[in-house]
Amino acid sequence: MTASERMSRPSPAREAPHRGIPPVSGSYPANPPQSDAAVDEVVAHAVRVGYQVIGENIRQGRAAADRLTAGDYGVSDVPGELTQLGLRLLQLTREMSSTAFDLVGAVFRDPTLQNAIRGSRSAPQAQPEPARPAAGGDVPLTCNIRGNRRAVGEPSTLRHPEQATSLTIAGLISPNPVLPPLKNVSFSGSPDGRGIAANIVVPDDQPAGTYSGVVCDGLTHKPLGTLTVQVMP
Amino acid sequence: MTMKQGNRRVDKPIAVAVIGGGCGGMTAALELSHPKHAGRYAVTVYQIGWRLGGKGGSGRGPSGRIEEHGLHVWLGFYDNAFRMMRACYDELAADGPSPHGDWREAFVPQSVMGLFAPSEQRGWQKWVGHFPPRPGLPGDPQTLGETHSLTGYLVKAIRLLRALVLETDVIRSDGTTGAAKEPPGLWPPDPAILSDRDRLLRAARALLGRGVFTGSAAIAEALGILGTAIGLVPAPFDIAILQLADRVSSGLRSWLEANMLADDHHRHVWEVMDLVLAILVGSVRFGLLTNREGLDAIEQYECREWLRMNGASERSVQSPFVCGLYDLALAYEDGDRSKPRLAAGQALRGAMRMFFGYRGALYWRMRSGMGDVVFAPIHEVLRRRGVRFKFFHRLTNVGLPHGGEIQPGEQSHVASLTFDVQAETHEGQEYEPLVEVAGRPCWPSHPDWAQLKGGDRGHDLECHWDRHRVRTETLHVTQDFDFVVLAVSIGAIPDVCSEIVARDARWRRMTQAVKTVASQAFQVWLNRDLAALGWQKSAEIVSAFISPFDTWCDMAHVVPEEAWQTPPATSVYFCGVLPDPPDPPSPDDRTYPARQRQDVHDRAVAYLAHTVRHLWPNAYDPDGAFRWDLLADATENARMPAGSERFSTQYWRANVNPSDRYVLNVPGSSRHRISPLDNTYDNLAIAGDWTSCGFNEGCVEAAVMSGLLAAHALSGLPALETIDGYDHP
Repeated sequence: MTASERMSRPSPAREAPHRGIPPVSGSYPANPPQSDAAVDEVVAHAVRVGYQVIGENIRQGRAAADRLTAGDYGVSDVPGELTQLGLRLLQLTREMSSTAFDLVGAVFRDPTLQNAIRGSRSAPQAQPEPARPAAGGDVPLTCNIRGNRRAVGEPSTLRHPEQATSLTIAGLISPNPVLPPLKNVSFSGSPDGRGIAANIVVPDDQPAGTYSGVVCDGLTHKPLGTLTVQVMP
Repeated sequence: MTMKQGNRRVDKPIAVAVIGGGCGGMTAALELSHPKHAGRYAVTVYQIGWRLGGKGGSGRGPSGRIEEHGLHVWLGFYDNAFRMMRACYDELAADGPSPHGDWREAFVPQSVMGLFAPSEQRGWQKWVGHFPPRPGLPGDPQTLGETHSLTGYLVKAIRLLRALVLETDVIRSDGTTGAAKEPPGLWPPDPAILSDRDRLLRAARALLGRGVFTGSAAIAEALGILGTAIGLVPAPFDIAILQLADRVSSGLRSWLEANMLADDHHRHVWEVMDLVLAILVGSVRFGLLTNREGLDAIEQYECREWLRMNGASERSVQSPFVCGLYDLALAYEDGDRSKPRLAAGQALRGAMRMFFGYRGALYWRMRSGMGDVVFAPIHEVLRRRGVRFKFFHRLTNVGLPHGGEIQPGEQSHVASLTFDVQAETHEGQEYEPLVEVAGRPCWPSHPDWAQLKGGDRGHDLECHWDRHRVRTETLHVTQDFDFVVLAVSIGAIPDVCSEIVARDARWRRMTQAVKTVASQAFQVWLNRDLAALGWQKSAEIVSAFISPFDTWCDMAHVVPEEAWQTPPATSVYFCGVLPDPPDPPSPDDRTYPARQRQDVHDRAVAYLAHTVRHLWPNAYDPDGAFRWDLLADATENARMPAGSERFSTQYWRANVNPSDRYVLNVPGSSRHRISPLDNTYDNLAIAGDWTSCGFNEGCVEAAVMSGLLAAHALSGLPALETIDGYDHP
């Protein structure tokens, strides 16, 4: 048999959904785009800046979660917690709205961005380069050990990522290749809201030793720092 | 007829072998046999056993009672699936009255969902969520300009949260109730407001001038404002919006600061709000509003962990709302309830679509068995279009041309398909699979042995471990088929595609990463309705209850579709995950399904004897024993078994066949799924809810979407843009 005797599928135009482009559903044609990449970038930038002001809410939520996890919380406590939640809501509302609105305002006050928006509605123009959030200093990295084994994490710092991102780590590996790696590592905001906490689960049967790994920016995959844990005998 | 397809011209119909009669395969068959193709494709469906349906199959047992694979509901956002079924019902009715009736009779809208949580005082606390009807019906064409944007969902999320805050009842086991207070006015009253800036401005001014609310009203108002703020972020910029922003934000600050105090709320309100706040925070923190990967950007996170990362409290992530999300998705790896595993991205996508994307009702129950409501009409439509059905064909191998490992970028094709033929009809006649019950065509729970040669009734022709066959049959490409739609479930892929799995690393990764879980279910028919047994609420689906049967539903509405001489008052379906044994059963372990089924039987008896007391207190006698005489016997024997032995007259099953296992989406697994559009095998398209189909979760809608994609892959139709929710954040 030769290939020419056999039927083959037409080549697909694509093999994955367009997740990042809001589509028009159903059988109707898509609306003409109302913004171009320049405006998208402005909005993206707004969201990134929003991330920074929202950090305080993460800290509050984390603190509430820790308190509820540790304490003997009962239904009778709800009104008090609801008050706190209401305050969170208030703060989030204020920050989300002011962030969004301030950014919208900034867009309209900035002549370069105004040109970009006008350009998106008429002829293509050179895209303005949105300002990047100022790179901060290093971020403290603390360790939160979970499990029955005694272990100590070495305090360190992570380089500030270029933009809002997630953190990834392949695992914590021992210099001794015979020892199994620590795979269950996740990240969250530290309870004091000033850095990142690495949550490391140490299995009961984990051999004693030193384990380390590289923390990377989930978007760019650039290394941001290292994480080291000493599992005690 | 001369047509061009792929790399050559053809002058005869293209032969398509569709393997598997579940939702994915049937959708592809419906698309490829559609009149719009003018007969270009000659479709043959190959099906193991005697009935279509796969995990959605059902059968009729004694007294025509409906015997389901599990508990099925169709969610109100299943637009592709509803569109397909509506087209089927319309096509059948076009030639006159159809025994299947109208689709609106076949699907029953439901707007109430119940969840259970342990009460901190005593007993169980039941939460009832009322989800108001929304405009339109599932499967309607989408409103012009309607988009699936994360921003839009967040706005809808806030709006629905307000409805939950205002409408969720709390009923404790001591009978006391509580409900949030209705505010003096709802804002925004109309989604159109968000697109009408003048109205938005007037509404905002009215809100600001209305004075002070307290408690739930204040929260509801704040959420409305928050929704507006979220909605404005990606909207087209305009000075009117900016003016509105200034006015609303400045007024809101002082208003909320002065009045945002809690008064009389219950913990569920706190939890739901906490979860929504976490989602809002996470959406911003992870850049989801503008991320080109959409929610896939957080696919590697476990859902609860992601919520915790974004500030949700431990109480909230363990709340019945989240537990119900896991229970409804059977999201427990290995069937182990200590291992809840649900990818955050798909969990959010599913929750957002479920709660904020439905039309008509939140979910729809079927009037009858899913096989009868869905697959019987599909079968009839396909038969009318000339599609051929080959029942009793068990696929055993998908053959490739000789060669070694399939290298990245290399193309190959399906060269052969090998089947075990499980049974043959007398004189080669076409097998007639349906029986009539209560005037409607239905699928039986067993094959019609009278149509089959030999009539060896000792075999279970749907059982993975029963390898009975009368012969083998091998189909060859170009001679017997041109294209293949492989629509068997992922659990069976290692067995039926061993050659591909052995030579293709992507398929190996997929079969290892995409997990499935066994499930268990039982149905009881009762001589008393649930109100008489002490159940106070309406017949909604209830989840987050006690394992192992954490989800259940009163199905009284299906009894009239059965054929009892003395109809029972109701029937009730229970289901849950089924733990896997530590070691997988061997292919030769023929008694494994029977042992599992016996275990389900024993668990169901224990469940009725003890656990159901929380639901139906009047089902127990004064000594606290379950009243087994409540169970109705479909065989209507004069000598009914007594005591718990009477449960043997009911229906239960262990879904342990590889193809029966429910498909999960565990963190990090989606990227290993292969798309129906994948062209590695240039005459093959895969279909099923295990594929990368845009909505990667075990459900009817995902399977239908995969079938549409498979049809697109082979024929170019339907256009991808018309597959609702495929291009979704």
